[in-house]
Amino acid sequence: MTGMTGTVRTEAAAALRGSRAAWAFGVLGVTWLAAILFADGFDSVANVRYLVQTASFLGIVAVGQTLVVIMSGIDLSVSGVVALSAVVCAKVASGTGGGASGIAAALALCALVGAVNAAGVVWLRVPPMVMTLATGTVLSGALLVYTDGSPSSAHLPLLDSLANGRLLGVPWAFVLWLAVTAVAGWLLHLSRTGRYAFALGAGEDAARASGVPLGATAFTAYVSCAVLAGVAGLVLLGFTGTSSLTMGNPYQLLSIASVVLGGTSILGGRGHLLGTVGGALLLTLLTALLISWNLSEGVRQVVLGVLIIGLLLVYARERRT
Amino acid sequence: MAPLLSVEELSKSFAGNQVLREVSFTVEPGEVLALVGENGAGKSTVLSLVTGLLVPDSGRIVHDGAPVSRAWSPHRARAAGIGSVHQELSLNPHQSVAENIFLGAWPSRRGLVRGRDLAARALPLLERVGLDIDPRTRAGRLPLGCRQLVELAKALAGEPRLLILDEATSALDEEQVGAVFRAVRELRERGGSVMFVSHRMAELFAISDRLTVLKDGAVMATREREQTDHDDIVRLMVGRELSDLFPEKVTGPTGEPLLRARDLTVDGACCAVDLDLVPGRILGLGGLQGQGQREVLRALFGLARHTGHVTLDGRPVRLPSPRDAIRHGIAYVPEDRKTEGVHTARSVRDNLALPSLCSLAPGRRLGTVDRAAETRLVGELVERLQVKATSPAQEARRLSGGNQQKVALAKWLPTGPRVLLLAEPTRGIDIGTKREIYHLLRRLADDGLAVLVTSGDTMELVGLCDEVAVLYEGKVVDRLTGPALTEERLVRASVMGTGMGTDPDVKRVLAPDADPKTEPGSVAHA
Amino acid sequence: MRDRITSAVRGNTDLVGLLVLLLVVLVAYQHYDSSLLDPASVTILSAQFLPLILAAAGQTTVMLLGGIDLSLGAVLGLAMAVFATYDAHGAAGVVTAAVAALCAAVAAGAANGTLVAYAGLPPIVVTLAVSFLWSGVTLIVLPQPGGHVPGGLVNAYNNGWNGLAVPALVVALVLAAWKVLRTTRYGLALYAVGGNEHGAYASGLHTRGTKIAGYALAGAFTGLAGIGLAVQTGSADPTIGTPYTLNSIAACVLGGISFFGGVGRMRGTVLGALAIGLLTNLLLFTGISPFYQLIVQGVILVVALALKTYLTREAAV
Repeated sequence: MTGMTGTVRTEAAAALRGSRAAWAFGVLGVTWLAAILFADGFDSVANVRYLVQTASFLGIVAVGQTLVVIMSGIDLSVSGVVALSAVVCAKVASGTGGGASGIAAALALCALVGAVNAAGVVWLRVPPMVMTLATGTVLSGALLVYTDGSPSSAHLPLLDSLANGRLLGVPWAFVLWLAVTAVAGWLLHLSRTGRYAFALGAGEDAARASGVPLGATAFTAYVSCAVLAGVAGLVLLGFTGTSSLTMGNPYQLLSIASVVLGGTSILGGRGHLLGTVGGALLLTLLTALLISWNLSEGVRQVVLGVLIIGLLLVYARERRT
Repeated sequence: MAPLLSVEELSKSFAGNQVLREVSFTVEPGEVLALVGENGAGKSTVLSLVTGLLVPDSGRIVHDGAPVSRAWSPHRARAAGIGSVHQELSLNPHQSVAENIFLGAWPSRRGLVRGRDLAARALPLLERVGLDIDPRTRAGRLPLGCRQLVELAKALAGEPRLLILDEATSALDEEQVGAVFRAVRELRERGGSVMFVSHRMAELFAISDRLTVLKDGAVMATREREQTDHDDIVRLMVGRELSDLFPEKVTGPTGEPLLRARDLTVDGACCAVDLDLVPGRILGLGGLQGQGQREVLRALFGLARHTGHVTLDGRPVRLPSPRDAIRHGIAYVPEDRKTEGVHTARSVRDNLALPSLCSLAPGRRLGTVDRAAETRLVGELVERLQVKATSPAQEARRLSGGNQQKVALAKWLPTGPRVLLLAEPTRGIDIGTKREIYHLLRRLADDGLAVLVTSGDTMELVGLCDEVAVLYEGKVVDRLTGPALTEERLVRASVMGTGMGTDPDVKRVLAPDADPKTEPGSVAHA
Repeated sequence: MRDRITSAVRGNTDLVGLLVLLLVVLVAYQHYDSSLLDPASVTILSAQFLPLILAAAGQTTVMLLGGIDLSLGAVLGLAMAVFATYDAHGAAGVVTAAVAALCAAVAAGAANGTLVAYAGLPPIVVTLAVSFLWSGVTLIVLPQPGGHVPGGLVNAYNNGWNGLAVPALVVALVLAAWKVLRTTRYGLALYAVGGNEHGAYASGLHTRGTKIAGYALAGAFTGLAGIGLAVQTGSADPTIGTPYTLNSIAACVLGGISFFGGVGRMRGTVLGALAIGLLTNLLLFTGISPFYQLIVQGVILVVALALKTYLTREAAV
């Protein structure tokens, strides 16, 4: 009898270990419960609303990052792309262009950056990390040149309502995030492209020998990632009303942290998009919690760093082969 | 006299797959013990346990009269006087030969390792293994055989009392094997012991004092060399009669070739190879290891850059990438099953469906995968090839080698291939699955596929193939078919690098437009 | 003779390419600033480049092991903050501050190494996560830009000490120390683990210990870089380290260090860092907006790596 329960328990444990995305939500639930019990203000609807709204900015970037990480890439240029889209949109909109053309121009440029990333990785065979770091650097340089280093602000009603408005009490930003997740989830988990992305991430040699279109898959992933970072930049522009060159910086590391905390292997080929949603919510909640305790910036970062490492040690170790 | 090493009831399983069952044997001082068994019988696992690369699930290893400590590791094994040459090469290609030989135990003076000193000490070791190379050469620049000998020199550098050679002669020519034997005998004369694993039966009988036979992870028997013979050992290894291991071959006239390759050349691997793949026939590529067989297949599947002309149905085709090859109905089951054949971290279902995604997720569904059709497809394939998996959702790495190979082969069938290329299709696979695969290949050929197989196993080529082309240093030196296709002639052609052909007429039929001018090498030989 | 030269060139294509790039930059530099080779300018330039060179040396150590350190900028900032907040007076104080800063950096590096070696987490994830941690610690040590470095030290570093270019000496010392290290057992083990980790383990090498020591050594280089930066600027800034992560990787890539470990020379990295530094200065001289610096840097990085991949692939076939 004990043997039986023992096996059942180990099997359950194995299943739990296997589903790392579930872990992200489990930890999220526990943290949220703890926050409600031990911290002030986390039990109000307004607070939840605010949390999901702020998590959306990170979440949208992280969804794109997941697409890239699954196929064993990495995109370190998202910070630059977030700033790019906000700055370009603000500049064009406040100039002669108007809102719609501002948004269109911003997203087109972001797609172009994604294509450049993919081209470097696929054709020049530059390692993804260096390629995207380099495009990120070029982007921040280009933005400096474009703006002369000064922030520009713009007020676009569409973006404003997207960032701050509500649909039946739910922030539009969150709705947008869920919609983005649904589309990306279809792409990654239900479509052919997604299968190819997983195959590529699980082993490039085997993928090539199975006839997976490596180039097309990489382009889809990098362009989607860049466009999503661009969307996040637009929503952020709507949220803050201004665009600055550094506004994307937090999202570079945090988006990757969300993906990894969501149980996706940084080496590619394993993971689930929903885990990333959990990861982004978890990170946002942790940050809010740490802020509510009035900890200094430094202590907050230390605690966050230790927590991330601890969580990764618990459920995100790579298998030894 | 107490044994130097005694292995007591070792068991080991990987992911629920038991590969060793209570294995026990001893190695006496001053003897050469051969471990014999088919691929997958557990030889390498035993050796990994002895050298500390793996930890046994149960049982113990007694070395030098005392059980080894719980924290047994390669480091401790080496310190205890166990030197080993493993199947997987352990050299660092970026460091010099001398640095590799003394890896981990570099002789130093006042903490500094002097390159000249290192080279001087490496020379006698290289001499012992019959290598005449500069010890300062980078290891990565040496040919495979030399690297294997450097591995041996590295193992000897630790002055081992027990030397473990796991397929240490697989890439060596006869002269080099002689050098290995000299080193082994020298060690034996000094009272050291050797554990020897090789797939070449002749070598085992030439060097060993006793032979321990493993089958399916258990010891079948241990025999003194004088009291056994080749047949006895094979019977123990295989454990049953093999009458219907190979399917019946087809007879009758050959049809028109489906795929013709002319002057197929891959830089540094094969040169001006002509092949005709005929529907309904299984063509073999034989020869010693590394004579360009692998590259011929990779070239035909678009994985290796090549020159030459390939025609399919009489129409010239270009094969710059696997996708092009697949579009032309060419399928490839690679030698390196775990990195190229299947995605080990993905499920059986994902692996089987991957090449068929275009039909499972057509454009009119916006590329959404039809899960129901996928389930049907996967179910049919699992059923048809008898893939033993707990469920289609099981990860491929949890399957046995034979079932992984079935998956690697099965995934192509729904794409309707016309040409099937297989590299070492049964390496590391148990005899039962081997038989299934042989019969499956024959059935596929009967259904009209043209099959091309490479194998290092001469028995397999002779038993399975309708025709075998023998490669030597990248060139086809002989083509054997019909009654001429015997193990003896195949081995002779592989080793000598010259063919007698089946007979002149057949040779002309097999390579109709072979042009001597395209084979400068053979002209020079003549 | 010619054969030997051609074979030497073939063996070191990226080093030769780098030297050509450096030569072009130097000639252009000479055109704008003819005092380039004066002792004074050597002092000034080496003072300016020292932090990057040392940071790149740290990144090289990690990359030779087949890893990557994304927390390098954070650790550099930490060392800088520790050194400057100690508020040293006199030689003894400076030494204490330097030792404290080095200890902090080495401990950070060793922690990275331990996580990589034992936890089964990929280096990129580990160093990414700990970069939060170390920049947090830096902010605790030094919340705002500030701190203090003795003026005499700053002066000696930036303008020479009895006519000696101190930073250049430090770089020379580090190179010499590395050369010695390479010939020790540890140095050989470092390259062996980077080149074929499984093989090294199977041959009885303590691969985990080697890794931890390597990351700790990288921490020491990074700590020295942080101290150098503090002395150069006379104070500390908790966020100034960030760009060094990218720049150190760029210097390694230019210097021919492989991403897969086991291949590359420290002198290549130093030349790579020099090339980046000189190029940055050159852009300043040409009067182009300094904003273009980043663009040029990114482009050069990609071009260098793409060229290298292309060349080595040609050579391999």
